[in-house]
Amino acid sequence: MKQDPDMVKIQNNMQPGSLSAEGFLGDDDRNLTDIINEDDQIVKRHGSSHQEIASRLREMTGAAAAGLGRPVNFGDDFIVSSEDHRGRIPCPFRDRFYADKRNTIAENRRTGKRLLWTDLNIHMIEVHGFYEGRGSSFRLEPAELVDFLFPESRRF
Amino acid sequence: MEILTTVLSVSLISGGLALIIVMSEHFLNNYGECRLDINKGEKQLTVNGGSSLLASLSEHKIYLPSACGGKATCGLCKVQVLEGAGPILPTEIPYLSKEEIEQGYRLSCQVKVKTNIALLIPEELFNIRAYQTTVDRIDKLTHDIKGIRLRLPDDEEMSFKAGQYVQLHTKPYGKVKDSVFRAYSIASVPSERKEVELIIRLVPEGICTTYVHEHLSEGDPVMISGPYGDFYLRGNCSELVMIAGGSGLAPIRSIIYDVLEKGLDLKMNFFFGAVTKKDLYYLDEFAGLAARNGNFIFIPALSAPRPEDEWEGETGLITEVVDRFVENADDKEAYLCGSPGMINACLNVLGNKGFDQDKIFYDKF
Repeated sequence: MKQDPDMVKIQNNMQPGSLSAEGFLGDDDRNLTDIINEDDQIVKRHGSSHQEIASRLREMTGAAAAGLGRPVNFGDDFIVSSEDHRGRIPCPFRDRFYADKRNTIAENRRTGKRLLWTDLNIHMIEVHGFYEGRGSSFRLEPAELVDFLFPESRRF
Repeated sequence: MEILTTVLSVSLISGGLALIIVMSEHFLNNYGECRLDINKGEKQLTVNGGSSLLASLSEHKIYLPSACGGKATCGLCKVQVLEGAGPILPTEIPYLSKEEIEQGYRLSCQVKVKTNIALLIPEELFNIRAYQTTVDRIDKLTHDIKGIRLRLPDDEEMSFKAGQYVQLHTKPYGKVKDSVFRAYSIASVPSERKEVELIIRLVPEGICTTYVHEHLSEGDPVMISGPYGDFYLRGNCSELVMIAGGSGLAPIRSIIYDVLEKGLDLKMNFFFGAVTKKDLYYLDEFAGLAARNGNFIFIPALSAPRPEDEWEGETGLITEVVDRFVENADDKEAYLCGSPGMINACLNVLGNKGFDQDKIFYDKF
């Protein structure tokens, strides 16, 4: 799909060295609009929404942050911890949002599967439906993410 | 022939439009020479318009504090502008109080110099200078923290207060095409005027910390500017409570050495928190200082030690440990450096102990 000029500017903002060393797109050669649209379809197919996902991630981040780095239980399924780094990072969508540089790590106690996300991930998912490009270090695969966050649900 | 004519026409029209855009850029964005009037006529600078106020001042060797490199994410570069700054931008508002807005404070990184500007800059900021240093030594302190010692040029010295910070300027590397700068606290003692030690933790995908951790070698030149900051020892008390996590140890280390070297009559309690043993560093150094100096107590603590850590020291969140050791706020000052979460939690604990806000000094990441 052809992109409007604003999305082209945003995609440029996501290149390596602009806001982060490796950027937000990894080796994904799709344009930003296509990345967002395709991920949106995946989320819908799995019976969830960007807002529901972001809300769950935020809840887990809040629980992890209270541990000041020490892993804490989150419900019956998860152990979560967070890691703070110096500074804040602006959202590449140029919406004047600045995220603390915090990584949250969650581990499913039963399966041992682990997932890591940032505060910026949560914002970009909630507001822009953006999970980063394939190959990006902080890419969250939407299908995998829904299954991970809502282990009790069967979403098909 | 028709196709050729069409292609030619489209090319000519596109070329014409491009030319108009270039000409417009040249004339519309050319602000010409602008005058910066600093401190009501004390200093007058002539700059080429079009850059940010922060960058324009920096070109004339006036370095305002900034931790984010001009991205409006730290709020440190604020200055009082008397005239010529134009309307306040939405990006500035989160960093300015109502009073500051009324008094004309602006984020200098967001103010574009388009016309003459009159502004006020505190005198102490004129002491800030840039130094072309050389990396003297790099130490791997933990799995993700490095200690960097920078040597100043032979004919230069830096005067700073224990607890202050410098800005480190990177060079382009790899996919990073621009130079950036970030703020790091000085870990060395102020009496060492020819050297500056920094403690830098790798931020995943951080532009500056990746440069330091993966592209910087001993012998390399590095530009720094400083000193900056109002996190420094006041010492209007008989006892210090110092709390740090991660690379937040840096300014505290500088303060501890400064107090010991000057022989100040201050009792010091240093709480250093980490999750597991692999996150701790300088343990032997501080244990040695504590053994040699009766007024210094060092309390490292782990919040989640692993069995293989064989940890026999304090355990629990650093706030829990502080709560156990600090009885009251009597004649004490507190100095904190670490993540916002840690600082906020410590502020609560210290508040409950009776510490007044003006006796707690902190440097949030």
